[in-house]
Amino acid sequence: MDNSATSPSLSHYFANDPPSFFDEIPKSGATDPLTHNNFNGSFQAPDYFENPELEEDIRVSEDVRNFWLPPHTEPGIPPLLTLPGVLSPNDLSDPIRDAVALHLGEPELSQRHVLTVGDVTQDERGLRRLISAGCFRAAVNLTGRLLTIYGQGYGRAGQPAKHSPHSLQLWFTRLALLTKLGQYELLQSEAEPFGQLNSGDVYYDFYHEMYGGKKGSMACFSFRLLLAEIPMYTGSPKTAMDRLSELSALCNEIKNHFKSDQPSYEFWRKREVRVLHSIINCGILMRDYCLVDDIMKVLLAQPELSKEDKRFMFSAWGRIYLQIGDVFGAEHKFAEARRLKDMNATPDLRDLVDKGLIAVAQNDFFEAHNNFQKALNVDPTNTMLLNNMGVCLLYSGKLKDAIALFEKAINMNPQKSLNENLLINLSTLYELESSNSRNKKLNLLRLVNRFKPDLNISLDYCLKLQIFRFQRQIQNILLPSGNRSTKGSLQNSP
Amino acid sequence: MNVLEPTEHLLALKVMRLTRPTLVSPQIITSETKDLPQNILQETLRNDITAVAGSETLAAGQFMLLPQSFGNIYLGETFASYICVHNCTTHPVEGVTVKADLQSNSTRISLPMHEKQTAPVTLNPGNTLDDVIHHEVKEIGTHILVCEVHYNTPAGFPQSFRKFFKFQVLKPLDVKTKFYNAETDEVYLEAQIQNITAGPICLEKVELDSSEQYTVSSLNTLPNGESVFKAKNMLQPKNSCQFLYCIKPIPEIAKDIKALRDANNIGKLDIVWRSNLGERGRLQTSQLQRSPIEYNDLRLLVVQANNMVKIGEPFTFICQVTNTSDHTVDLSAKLDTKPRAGCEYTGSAEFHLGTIEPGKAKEFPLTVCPTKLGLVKITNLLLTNTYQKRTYEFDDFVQVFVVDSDYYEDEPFQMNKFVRYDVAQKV
Repeated sequence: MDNSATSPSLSHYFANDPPSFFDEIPKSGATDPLTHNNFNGSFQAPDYFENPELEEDIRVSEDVRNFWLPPHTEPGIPPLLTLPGVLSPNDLSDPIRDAVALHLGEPELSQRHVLTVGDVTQDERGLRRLISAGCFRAAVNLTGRLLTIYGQGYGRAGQPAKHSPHSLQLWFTRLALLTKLGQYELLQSEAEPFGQLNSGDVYYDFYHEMYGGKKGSMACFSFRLLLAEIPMYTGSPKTAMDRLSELSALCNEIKNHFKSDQPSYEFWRKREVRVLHSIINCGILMRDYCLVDDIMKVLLAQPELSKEDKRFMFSAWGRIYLQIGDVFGAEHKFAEARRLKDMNATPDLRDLVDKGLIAVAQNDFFEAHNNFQKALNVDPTNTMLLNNMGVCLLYSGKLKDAIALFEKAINMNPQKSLNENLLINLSTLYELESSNSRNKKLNLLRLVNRFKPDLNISLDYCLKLQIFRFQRQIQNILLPSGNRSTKGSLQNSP
Repeated sequence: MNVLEPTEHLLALKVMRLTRPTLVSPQIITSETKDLPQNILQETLRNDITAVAGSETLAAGQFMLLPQSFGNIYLGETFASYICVHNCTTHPVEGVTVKADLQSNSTRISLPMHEKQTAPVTLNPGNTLDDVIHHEVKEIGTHILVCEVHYNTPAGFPQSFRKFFKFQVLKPLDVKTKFYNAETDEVYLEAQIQNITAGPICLEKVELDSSEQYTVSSLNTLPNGESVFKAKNMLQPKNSCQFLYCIKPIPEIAKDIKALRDANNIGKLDIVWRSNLGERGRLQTSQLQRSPIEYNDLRLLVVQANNMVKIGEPFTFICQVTNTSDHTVDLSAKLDTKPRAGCEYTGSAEFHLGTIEPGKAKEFPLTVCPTKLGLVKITNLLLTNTYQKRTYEFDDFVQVFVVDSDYYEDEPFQMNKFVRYDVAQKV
């Protein structure tokens, strides 16, 4: 069958293109695991080498690292205590496993070889191994077990607890992973007892004798930052913004306290910058772009920034403008970014992607595709580029080619490319392509089963498996109004 | 979902609205080297395909995600949709065509698909006939996308089905205009544009395209060419932005009182805005009408006056009176300032101007002495035609901004200090 006859839109749209690697896609199809179910790869935990003595970029003493004032206590009034406890009675279950059992049957489960909590040593090292392999659920389960040893396991919330640097690190790790997994409900309730780490018992000063007069915060700085950020994920970004602002002000104060001590000053400056990044992220979430603008200016005014850092900042700033739709503003920032590069250097990946995104904003998906294609010549295995090219192809009326490209990205490197967002893109197109998309989506599920320990967006949403009827409404595939009484579903307000 | 599809047909039709994609970022969680996870969380972030190398901790992504909901569509935006017909059988289907119409309350437009090829095609099993349609929506209210698919059954009989997709087109902006006729020939237009969409927008262009009788200068940029708006014309939902234009009649009309009186069409406002990732909309208002000029027998213009005067210094300005009646007048002028507590300026005057023939004009200076800071309006000028004993009163005919005696005009206007746009949005 002549291809141009079946899909006329494809034949003329890019008719004058020079040969590109799209031309190869149909030929390589024979070994595609997505179309032919004969793929033998499976999950492989990345090599992990334990390095207990990992050093920081800037070496500072523990006193500098933990520099933080404990709360003021009135004599005679008992201090407030931090009384945390694990709130999930059982280990977190594996939703990928459940979905595979439901849709593909038990035998397929033999293909799932991801690390579980039993596969590693029951300590910090095992924990790191799980996290490094992306097995976040298993890691959360291990933190639960280790915290039980500290008497802070299930059912211990509200009970007196003894804190140590190690137990607080376990909590930080657990809550960080729950955030990564999108388990916000559990996260919120488990984080609640810690407040903002303002109770006396998370400071060395509280355990005067045990730590030999050591002072400062026993909880790590990353834990403070995480606790400040959590409301961002649980629907109250304003609270997060307040907490982050307070944190950045404190960092600034401590930084200036160490003005005469260069390494300590630099150490705290970096922490302050990290908090400011979080404020920007929160501002983007709240769509408070004026605030984002102000903080970007503050960040770029730092004399310590290298040319390269500045360039990436300007590029990020341009992409923020693109999100609002300020195309001129974005072009301006991208030009600033380019100016920070060698004059004669050829456009690199950064420049080409930025140009491609500008073209997308101008509705020129052909030009955008060209830019991403050029960038791909620089980095031929870049999944992000393949994804963006796929999106451009769809907007140019080339659905089948777009699908082929997404599948190619997955085939090239399944473990890395089976990203939640890529899965959503691909299953959206499967839905659009045909009413028999289910089999293709189940093939995707097979791959997820083999390669992905965890997903941070619900599998049903990623693959649009429609176990539940309401799933229909979160899709953009239009429903014919004649067939349904709920016509309002076409105008879901965002 | 198969339940919803008309299973009796050999082909399936799918439609997806193409709003701009969104840029997504990974979940940004980091730790420090001395923490339990050491540098593993950073490594995880760096390896995420949605992270941006070099700025991993900023949520300014570059990975495009396809639209996941229909979203809102506003007047002036372009409705784009992917239309896909799929052969879901196991044998070829012949004579396939697809046609898309967009029906609004008043019109029905055929949307072109496959412009270069209109002949029916044969679809092999699993193959699709698909294309993207675009249409700028020019009407508010209910719209229905009607898709019609024709094909031949294996027996050779023509068969067809239609599907309807209904959506509402909403109003994006609220535009309010106000006109001020200045003492001179100039007219000032104040346009207030309110964002009534659900998200922030960026006003890319707000221009007044003047009619042939007028010229326009926009008063929305600082002397250095930057916009007067700090926030780069970004408008949060429910927020408004005011734009100011100065409109002058072209010289041929300015000279001719009658022509000026008839030239009420000033021009049209042309507005272009963008939202998520450059989604573009454009609206043009209808012809804007200035408030009518009402001259009776005399027309008073202030031809020369400073905008600003220091307190305690005299404010002198030159008026021009034109005889717009058809008979000669003999005028005496009187600026009636009653000295009382709290009055804004002092300085009464009374003099004889002499005769003015029809269509001719005469200039004369006036001086007052402002006694209050801020905007002072000079009012109550009486011109009496001594032939007919008729008096014409001119109120509020010139304004001056009175500043303190230590004010320096060269001082740059501090935009950050005085103007600030904040988020009114409730989160």
